[in-house]
Amino acid sequence: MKNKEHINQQVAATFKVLDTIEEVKVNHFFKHKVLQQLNNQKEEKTSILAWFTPCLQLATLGLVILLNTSAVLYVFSFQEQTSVDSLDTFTQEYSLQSVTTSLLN
Amino acid sequence: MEEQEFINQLKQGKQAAFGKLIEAYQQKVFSTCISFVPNKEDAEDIAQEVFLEVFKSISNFKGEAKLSTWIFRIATNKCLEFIRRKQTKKRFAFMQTILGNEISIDKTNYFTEFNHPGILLENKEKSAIIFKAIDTLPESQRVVFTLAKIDGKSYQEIVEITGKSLSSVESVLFRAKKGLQEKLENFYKNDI
Repeated sequence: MKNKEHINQQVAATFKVLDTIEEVKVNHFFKHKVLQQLNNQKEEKTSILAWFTPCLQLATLGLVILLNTSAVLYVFSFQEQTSVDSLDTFTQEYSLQSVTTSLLN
Repeated sequence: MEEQEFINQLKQGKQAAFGKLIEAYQQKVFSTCISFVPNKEDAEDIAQEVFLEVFKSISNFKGEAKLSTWIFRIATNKCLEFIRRKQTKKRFAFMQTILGNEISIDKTNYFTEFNHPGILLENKEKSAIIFKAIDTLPESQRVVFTLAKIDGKSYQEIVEITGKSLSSVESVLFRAKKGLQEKLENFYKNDI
């Protein structure tokens, strides 16, 4: 019983501690620090984008499109050739060539 | 009307308006942050992040809530994000020690080093106990309890910040208090 009372007192005292917390003053240089960080961010943003002018953006886009088109064209033409080659190899391997080699001709 | 004009100036990116905003809210935002994260350095870093976020997102502010409410909402979210991040790091460090990798780990399981200059020396131990107990509450209870009992916000302000109804805030606060009471009772029972 005494224990329970003691525990209740401890719990109440622990809750009471929250009422005694005093206000902590913010650092005097807080505003300065935030504004400096903000300026740094702005500078970073502008310096990153400054060199990438609209002309360069267009040129990059054109280059990307050109590269993609040439890659697609190259892949398709290569595929056609290899499929014919592989078909020839296959027919030779299994002796499936047409009757042109027949002795009757 | 005046606030709308001030918001417009912020949206236009006027440095003087930002300066005014920081002056007006720095103490309140910092107080909210240190209520959630009882470490002066961490709280200051989070408060800085809050203002940077405010500047970044002011163009998205539609004026549905008061500017102060919006700022405190950002502050609360930033604090919760910080706590989640720290807790994940602690869990990862704990797993590393289990797996035998050499990473030193703080013996306490609290997410930050307890360093609250507003707490009197004689109350330090009890404060650490209750802050650790708050840390184990579900997030919604933690938010409402911290805003009400540590940051000293009114019920109306909490309603606006959390977007809950008044009755919901009251019931969450009641459950938080009950939960804390049980946790503290168990703690002192085992301590004797």
